[in-house]
Amino acid sequence: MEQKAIKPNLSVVGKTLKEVIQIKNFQVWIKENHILANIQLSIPKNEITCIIGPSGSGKSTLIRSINRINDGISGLNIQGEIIFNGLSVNDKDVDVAQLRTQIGMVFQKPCVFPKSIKENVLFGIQHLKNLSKLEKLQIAEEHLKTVSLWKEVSHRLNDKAISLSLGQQQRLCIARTLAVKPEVILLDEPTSSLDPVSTRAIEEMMVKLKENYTIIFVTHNIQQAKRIADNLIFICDGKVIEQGPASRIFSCSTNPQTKAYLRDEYCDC
Amino acid sequence: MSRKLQNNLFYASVGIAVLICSLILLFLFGIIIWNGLPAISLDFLTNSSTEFGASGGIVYQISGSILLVIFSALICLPLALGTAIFKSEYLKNEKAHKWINTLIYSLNGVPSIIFGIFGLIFFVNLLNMGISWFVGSIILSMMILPTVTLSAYQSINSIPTVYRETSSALGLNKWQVICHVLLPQGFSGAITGLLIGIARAIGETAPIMFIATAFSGVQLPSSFVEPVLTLPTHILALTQQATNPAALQNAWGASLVLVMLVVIFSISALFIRLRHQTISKR
Ligand SMILES: Nc1ncnc2c1ncn2[C@@H]1O[C@H](COP(=O)(O)OP(=O)(O)OP(=O)(O)O)[C@@H](O)[C@H]1O
Ligand SMILES: [Mg+2]
Repeated sequence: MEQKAIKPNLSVVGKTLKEVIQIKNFQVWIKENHILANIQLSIPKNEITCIIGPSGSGKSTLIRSINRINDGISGLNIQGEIIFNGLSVNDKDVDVAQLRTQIGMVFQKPCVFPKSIKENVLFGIQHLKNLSKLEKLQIAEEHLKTVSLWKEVSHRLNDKAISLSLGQQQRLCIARTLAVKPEVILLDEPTSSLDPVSTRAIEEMMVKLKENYTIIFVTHNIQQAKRIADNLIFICDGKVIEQGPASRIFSCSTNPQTKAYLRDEYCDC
Repeated sequence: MSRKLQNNLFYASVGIAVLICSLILLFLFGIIIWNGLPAISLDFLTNSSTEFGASGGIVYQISGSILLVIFSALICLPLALGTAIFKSEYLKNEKAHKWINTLIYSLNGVPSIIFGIFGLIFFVNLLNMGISWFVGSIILSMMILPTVTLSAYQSINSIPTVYRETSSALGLNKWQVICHVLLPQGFSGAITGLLIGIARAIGETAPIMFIATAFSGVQLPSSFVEPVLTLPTHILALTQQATNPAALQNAWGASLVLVMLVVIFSISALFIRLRHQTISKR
């Protein structure tokens, strides 16, 4: 309890603010195309970092590089470093599966497996054989409560997950990611296929989750970034145009491109 | 010609095509049931045959046929799933894909008698295994392998990438993704392929008659290297004595039983498939 009370004070002090992820001189090519050029970023712990930018600017490519989901793309070429808690994620001897349990990801469209609601929550930890039935149920309950889905589904945990609404499915996907106990959660436009009410529910959840997790949230929606972001990263055409505390960028950005994008959602870089 | 007339004409011609197909099927089934039903009785289904099938029943022909196809399915399934997984998850080279496809289609195009000859030369003569039902199962599994492989591959390949990504993002390694996401889906495709394959295999005579079957005097095998009796070879033997009305009658009866077996296999495969939930496209 006490520790939690101390945390906000520490972040106010600012000096001890810890960076979970540092990206240094990171570049990506897919075949001949230079997708990301010279990215320099740092992601602070227990805050929401929003990445905004026009379509095709490389937002997805960037966050998919962090948990190395991009590995499968043919013709992928990278340079530079992404450092997660002192570990260079692209090192040869990194256990990628292990890395991904620490850096979770939620995708744009809710993607549930053809199984029950409960089995879906437990999907990432199902191979841990030493969990009893009761423990599994407790884990499912804990995480469904975190995403405030418990009330809606507690009486039908064994129903097919596909029977849920899209908004509920996306919250289920978040619960499933949380069940793996990651430190960082990457979200790639998680609300873009959802209705406004579900969108708000997820935004509020993010603000609560940042107490325990570091959140990187890609969005198209500037208003959304305004509502939840502690830090903002503006990417255009594969380059970081501006990054910093969201409050500063929204109120008094000096960069003409950022200003234009925030005003018109348009950028000609 | 007005568009409406054109539409109607088209509608009529597809209708006629469907009608002809169903009539042929109905005619076949009708004749088999009409001629076969009188031969069928509990005795016919539970007794062994005597006088080369002209009298007695067909119980060992039924058990032999079932044994052959069940083992061929068991041999075929892991091979087909393995090939399908390899092809969709590991093989990135376009050319290699084309080559494998060509091989699969060629295997599918090999006439069944060639499989029989191959079995005879390779297993019976070269490996000296004698006439053995297990060799028959191996040969039949080779015959149905292309069908099963292709349908398993298709269902695995149709799983949207996001399912692979989602499960890897949850920390599953490649092997776990294969076991928990891809194989369940591939399994249901393979079952569909098996249903088609087995329906074809259980009626085959040519590939098994030199290597796996006897024409009479055999009961349940007690080892892997004994012959069995099967329905199609039995029907063949009976039609060769068609001048004997009793033998002909039993040939019809055995045919009806064979058709019923195919139907039973199809229905049970359908049930397995329905119970197995798969990823569906939204
Ligand atoms: N698999 C791929 N093969 C080739 N090019 C790709 C691939 N994935 C992405 N790209 C290219 O990389 C660039 C950046 O794509 P990315 O998906 O990262 O953009 P984004 O900012 O996420 O866009 P959006 O907001 O529309 O999701 C685009 O020009 C895209 O065409
Ligand atoms: Mg994107």
